[in-house]
Amino acid sequence: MNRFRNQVNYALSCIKRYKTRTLVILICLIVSASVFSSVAFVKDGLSAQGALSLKYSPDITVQGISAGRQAPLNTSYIGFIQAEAGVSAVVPRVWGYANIGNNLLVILGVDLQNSSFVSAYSHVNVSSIYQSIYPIESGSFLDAQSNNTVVIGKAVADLLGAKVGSILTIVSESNEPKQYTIAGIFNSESGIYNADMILMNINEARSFFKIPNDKVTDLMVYISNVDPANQKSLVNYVAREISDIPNSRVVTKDVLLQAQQTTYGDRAGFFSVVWYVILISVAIIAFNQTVAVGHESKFEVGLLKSLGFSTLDIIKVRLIESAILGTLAAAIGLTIGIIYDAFLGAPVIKDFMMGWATLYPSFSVPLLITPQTLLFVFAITIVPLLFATVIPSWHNATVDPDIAMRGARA
Amino acid sequence: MKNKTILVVTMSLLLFVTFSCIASEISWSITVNKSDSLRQLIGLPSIAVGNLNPSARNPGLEIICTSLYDSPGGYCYYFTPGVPVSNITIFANVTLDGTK
Repeated sequence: MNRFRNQVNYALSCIKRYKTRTLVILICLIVSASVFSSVAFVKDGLSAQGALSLKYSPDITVQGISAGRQAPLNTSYIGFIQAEAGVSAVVPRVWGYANIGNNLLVILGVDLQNSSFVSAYSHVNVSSIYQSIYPIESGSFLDAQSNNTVVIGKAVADLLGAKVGSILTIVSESNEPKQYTIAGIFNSESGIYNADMILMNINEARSFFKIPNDKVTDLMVYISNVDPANQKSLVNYVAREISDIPNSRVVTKDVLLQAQQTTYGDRAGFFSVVWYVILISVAIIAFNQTVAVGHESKFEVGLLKSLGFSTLDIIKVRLIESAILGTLAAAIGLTIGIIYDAFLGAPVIKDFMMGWATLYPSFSVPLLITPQTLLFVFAITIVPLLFATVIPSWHNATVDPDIAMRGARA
Repeated sequence: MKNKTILVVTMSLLLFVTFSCIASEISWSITVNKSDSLRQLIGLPSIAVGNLNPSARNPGLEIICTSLYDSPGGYCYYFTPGVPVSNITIFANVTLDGTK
């Protein structure tokens, strides 16, 4: 133990003695660790938020298609789907997009009186669905009885400078200006989900999009809760049955989950490629610096060997040095990544990961710091450094002490 | 700078990182286990994050996304292999010699 402690002490002295090498390696590793970690935290946060939305999304979404494009779906299919074994609820939904100025917003009509929605979530208190449990910052949630009222996302409110009670005018696709009173504004904590949203009663949305009463944008299909092992099979079975409906497209939750993961993974992948390039450069620089230091430390190695250090001891000291440097660099890099994302709001990365939105949501970036990411950053900063060190230090340590000291003096 | 200082700095940073990780995990587990009535009511599968196309929130959407890029929760990937409910075997027989 004492021996190891002395070796650690000696390695620490070397870190201080060879300042240039230490600084070069530290700076390179810190840059690569902080770039990777800051992207990974945002990517994991977005994926987790997406997965959370999916958790509450319907098991199956059915929409109409016409000539390969989405089209309104006939409500007459609701009965057919409801009759399928395993279906617990079918909820019609009317929604779409609309512009206010150059900003594209999501307009969503919800059926607050739909009993099938309530039965799909029988564990939720019905009265609490209507009021108080929604993330409202000011005003109130929609009332099933009131007309021409909307609840809007925080980003929409900020964009328009709107408050509760303000009149919102939106021009529909048929060039008709529609006016709504803002009943409530969602809070910024829930902004990741509703920043760009204008919520209204389903009939208001029908009127806005000019969708006839016998049509809907899509149908949300909820499957009965069965044994989790059989849930997926049941969903796929029902989806296959529903796909018999002509001019329809059937999408399961699993497919959407794959899509989301691929999307965020692809974007983070771009940064990962950049990061790998940085990491390779770091390994080369570390190798180069270790070779240079090995040359400088020839006399020192000769002296150590003449004092009884074995070749293995010298290699061990160099590896301890690299492990400490790698750990320190990874810890600093991760700390910078956390501060950059959590306190500075991840500038640049945020714009890239959020995309080229027509309305930049003003919510804070969702972060998820997982143990896997931390371990990966540590592994990827320490291991290449150890590999880059081992050969030069072995080469340095195997030289005869007499030759080493003479060569160094010469 | 003493040798010990390097170790103390490293340990402090490791503690900060570990604490941040634990705080993040706890916060997410609370978020995930908390009931979200708005998401239940609306049922949109994606989040309010913009994309390369204006169909960001669309779980159903214009095919334009296939030529530009996909969106979270979008349907572009619906056409990728592995979709369990696609049944396009009808096209397999529409060849001149009828082989698949």
